[in-house]
Amino acid sequence: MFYLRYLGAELRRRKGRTVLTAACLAVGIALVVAVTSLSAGLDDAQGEVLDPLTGVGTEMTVTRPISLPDPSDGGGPPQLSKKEQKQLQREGGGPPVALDDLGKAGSKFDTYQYRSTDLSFPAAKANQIASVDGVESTAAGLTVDVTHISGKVPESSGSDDSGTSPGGMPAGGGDAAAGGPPNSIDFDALTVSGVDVSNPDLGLVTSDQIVKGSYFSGDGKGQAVLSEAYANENEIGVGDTISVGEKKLEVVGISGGAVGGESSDVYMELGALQEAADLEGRVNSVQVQAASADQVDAVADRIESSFANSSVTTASDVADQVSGSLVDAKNLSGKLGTALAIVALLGAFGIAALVTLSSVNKRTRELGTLKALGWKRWLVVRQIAGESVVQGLLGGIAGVVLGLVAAAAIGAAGISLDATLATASQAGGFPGGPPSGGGPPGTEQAADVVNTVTLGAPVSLGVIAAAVGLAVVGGLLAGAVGGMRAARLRPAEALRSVE
Amino acid sequence: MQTIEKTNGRVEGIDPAPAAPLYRLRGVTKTYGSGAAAVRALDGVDLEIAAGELTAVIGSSGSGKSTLLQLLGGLDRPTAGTLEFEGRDIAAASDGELAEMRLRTVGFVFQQFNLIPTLSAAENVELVLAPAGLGGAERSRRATEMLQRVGLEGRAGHLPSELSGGEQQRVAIARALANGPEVILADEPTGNLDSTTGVQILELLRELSEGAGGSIVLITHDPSIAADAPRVIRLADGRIASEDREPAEVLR
Repeated sequence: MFYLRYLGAELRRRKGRTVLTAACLAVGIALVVAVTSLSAGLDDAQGEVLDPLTGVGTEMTVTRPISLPDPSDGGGPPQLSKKEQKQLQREGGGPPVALDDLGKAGSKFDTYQYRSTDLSFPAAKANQIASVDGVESTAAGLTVDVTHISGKVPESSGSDDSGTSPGGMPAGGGDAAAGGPPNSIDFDALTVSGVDVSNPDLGLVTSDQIVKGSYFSGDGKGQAVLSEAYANENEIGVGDTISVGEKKLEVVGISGGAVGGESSDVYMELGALQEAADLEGRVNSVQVQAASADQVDAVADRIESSFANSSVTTASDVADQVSGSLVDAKNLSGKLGTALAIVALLGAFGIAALVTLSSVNKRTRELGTLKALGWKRWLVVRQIAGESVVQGLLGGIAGVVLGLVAAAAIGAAGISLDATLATASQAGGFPGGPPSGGGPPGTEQAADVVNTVTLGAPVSLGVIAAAVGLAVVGGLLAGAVGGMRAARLRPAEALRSVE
Repeated sequence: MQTIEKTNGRVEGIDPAPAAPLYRLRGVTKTYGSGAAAVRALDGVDLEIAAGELTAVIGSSGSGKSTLLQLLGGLDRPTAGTLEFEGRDIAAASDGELAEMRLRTVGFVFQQFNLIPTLSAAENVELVLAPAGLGGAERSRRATEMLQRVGLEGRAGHLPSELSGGEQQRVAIARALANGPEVILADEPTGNLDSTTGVQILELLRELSEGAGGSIVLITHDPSIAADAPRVIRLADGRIASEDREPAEVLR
């Protein structure tokens, strides 16, 4: 107790030094707490953004992208058979719309075109994937771009400089082209996905994603689920009726952002879409649920090797596609923040050590007196180190409080971060349209999904414990430096130095 | 009174020869620095100090007085020669053994008092009782008793800054005597005090050390103090220049 009383008396007498040392450590510790909690907040934010796809971390998407043909070959994609090349040509939008085919000049027309966003494959493939080892369940889907073209056949058709492609007009996304289509023609494009309504937990839209209304009920025929963005933009609500091609559908639900998945405008029952798009029995994506998260990569490999030319997109692939301020902030906190915390901590340790050293030098006579009175070296070192550790503890506690305030301030500031995610349809879509020519690949251009999340900075007990531990380490470090200096003092020299 | 165990190198049960002096110095030399910058503070000093003796050491500044006192107190080791304390060679003792010797058998009194400014008078006395292993209650009782003996019973809770110079030196004397040392080493204990207080302090030192059967080695500049001492050793340039003894005191 005597030694503690002495320690307390010394710290009180050297209040300035005690406060300075503790404050230096406190700033270092506060930065560590703030940066660590900010980093945890960014992790949470990223988790929130990716949650729709990675909620369980076991989902993946199988598609069948095609690589660009080598121009020197002159033909279609080399890996496809003749039959598939034909299929690709058909799905890629079919023949471009030739005005001559629409009727006489001045007459009205109203036509729908369906273009598959990925090369389709027989639905039986989904069953084949279901039998791959490690696959829990599968849900096949078909996503197509539906272009609705209506209007009057213009007076002059064929080749002119109105901006249309030679021999026709772009098959979709028309008004983006230079000059645009003739004013008398309306283009209306949307992305429609057909889903396996028998599996509400897996698929291009799941029951979890429904934010308004409900998921498909019964066989799902005549029902539609709309993406929130599309519903808002077109002011469509639950209970309204929309038409896709010739089909009238009742809107039963609105789905929230399907980040990383196929972000279609409209979801409908698979069979009905296959029929409308003239793609009976074909699908172009399979959602796969692996039996466990740690099997995901192995399952993905097995699917890719058993299914020629397929591509499997896993949750981690999707995470890699996230960009925007969230990622910038995460990188910033990951690199700059950590560096800042380390520099601050080292600086704090260094200053604490220097202050302790200078304090020991100033106390040469006092320490010499202790030694002259018979204090053994370890006792003197323990006293000096004890003072430093207590200073470290004080600094640690102050640092944790400061850090908590900083973390609370970050939370209270309500900083919002954007996460931009390239959707699977864009990532795996046709690279530039079918070989037969024609327009650009429709609405995929605007398929990025932007999610905004509010940044928080959660502080865990572990971080607090680690911070206090660091402060004590800092105190010990300073104490070791000061203690070593004190230990080297020979009592006679220490007494002589002030005489 | 509490008996404090002494571990000053004596093997229990075997006393050194009765004739052995408290200190025996043979050719003791102390050099500071090395090469051309070396300073020889003590140069071949031969000296014996018997138990119970009051010895005054005088000499001009730089004559080696303080160095001699530090060697006698085990604060330092001689560069050459032998220095025996109760028959034991100090040069051969470890740092820990020297610390133990300083704690239990030597009481230091400094010119500057060397009290710890953050500790009260009682705590300054406890400063040597705690390392000696005394428990809280015993330590406190002992510190109070020592302060009573130096006439500071009412000042136990005061900080050094709240005490006069004479009172501070009384605290230092209480501290020096707290562990029942065999020798008091005082380095100009009255140097910072007015003459009246100086005389009182000296009287106190003699009185208390006599009571404890202790010996005193006293460094002083003051001729009147030296004149009063039964044995006076004069140092010059690190050597013993002269020595005066009062036969009656030696016999005491």
